[in-house]
Amino acid sequence: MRKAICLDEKDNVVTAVSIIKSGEQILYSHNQLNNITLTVKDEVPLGFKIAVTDIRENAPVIKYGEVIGKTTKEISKGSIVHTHNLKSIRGSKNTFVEGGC
Amino acid sequence: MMQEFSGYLRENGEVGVRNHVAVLSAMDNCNGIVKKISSQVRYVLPITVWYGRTQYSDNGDLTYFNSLVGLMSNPNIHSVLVVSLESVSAKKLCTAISKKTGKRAKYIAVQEEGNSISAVAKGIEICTNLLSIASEVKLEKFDLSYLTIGVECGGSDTSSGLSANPALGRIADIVINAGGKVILSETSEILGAEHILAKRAINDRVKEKLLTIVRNIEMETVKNGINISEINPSPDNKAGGLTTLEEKSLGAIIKGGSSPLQDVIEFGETPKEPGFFVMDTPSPASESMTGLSAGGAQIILFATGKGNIIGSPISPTIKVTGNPNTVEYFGPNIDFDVSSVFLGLQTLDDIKVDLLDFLIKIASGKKTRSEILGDEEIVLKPVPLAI
Repeated sequence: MRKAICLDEKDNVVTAVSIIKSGEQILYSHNQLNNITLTVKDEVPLGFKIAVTDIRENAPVIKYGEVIGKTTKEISKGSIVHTHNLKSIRGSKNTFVEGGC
Repeated sequence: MMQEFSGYLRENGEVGVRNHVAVLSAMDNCNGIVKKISSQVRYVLPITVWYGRTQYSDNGDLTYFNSLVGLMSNPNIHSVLVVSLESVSAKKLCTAISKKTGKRAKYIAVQEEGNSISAVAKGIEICTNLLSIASEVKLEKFDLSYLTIGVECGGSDTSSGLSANPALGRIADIVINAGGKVILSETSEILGAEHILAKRAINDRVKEKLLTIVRNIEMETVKNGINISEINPSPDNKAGGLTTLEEKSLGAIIKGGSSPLQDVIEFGETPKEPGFFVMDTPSPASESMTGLSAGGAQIILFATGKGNIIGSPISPTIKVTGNPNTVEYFGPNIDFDVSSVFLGLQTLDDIKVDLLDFLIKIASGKKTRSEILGDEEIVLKPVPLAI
């Protein structure tokens, strides 16, 4: 049974569909991507996101092929992506200063 | 094969999936009377409210009044008893309901009846007559073009965007293809995904309306010093793996399916033609579903992740989850399990037929969990200048 789901080729995170142990190797697929191996570095609860590449600080995180926010610190491949390292871009004063839609 | 459900034909040609006699408080000071009447008469649907006493001015904002008229105009309601302190507001409500729908709308005004005890007695008598008349309406077969479906999500987690919301989206497309209407609400949970919905707008006017309601929410929160992304996602959303509002919204809008966006409508407004609509509502489920019921939704499809129990008392609310843990622990509150999609054991195409069959069963009288358990509420905010 699959352990994580990838929603779009452009995504730099996948979502765990079961608990994944630290150090566990998992496979994920999406259309052209077939059985990509990922070594998971953290204990991951069901539903949490895992980085599939190294992501720089202040870089976009992509899920559904769309930007879901920016990193607040560097994230290494295989690590959990959540509120400790990812934040929303929208709904703050900066949204309008930066000319967001 | 043409899909059909058994419903109740109303005077204006709309079709109800329930046959309620509603007892409505016109204002909060009458809630006690409404509760007493409904405890004495079997099968009436009590609808109580907060506020209302200053909401009947001809010159003021009509949102509150129109919402009550909309709720009572829902085709799931056969007839109405309005309970008010004074008669002027009650008459206004009854006139508007009857004019809009042709249905029976009676009222009692406590000050006319003399006191609350005699008002309860009069209310019981009126409800007894209305129930007797309502029980004569026969069920008939109707196709899906008669349905208006509200799509809602609450207590979301990452499973919602990956399974329950896409499952609802499939049903939304089927209902619209059959000539029905689907309404997506919760404006702040479009924020971050509005560019996707905007592309589906049938013209620039609709596109601009959509972008405007989202921009207004964002600007208003910033102006009031609120960072919306700090309060939404909520704590339970975050515990379920949702990190940002953009992520939540991108998952949430999937429940509206893939049809063109016909129009953006106001809170409680009824869609005028078939197709897909966005209604401008607050994001909490009780408030959002109140808007959907007032807009004429006979059924609400409700995707949940971590679990949210609430339903609309007027529009049977079908709880769908893809989270296998929620199926296990929240089971009594869940109507339909799509965890097989989340786990990759079945596809959306595999389960859509079963979910549509389930929807038709509910439309034909099967009770939802929130109907059985009574986890239902109507929540109307007063207009901002509630003096």
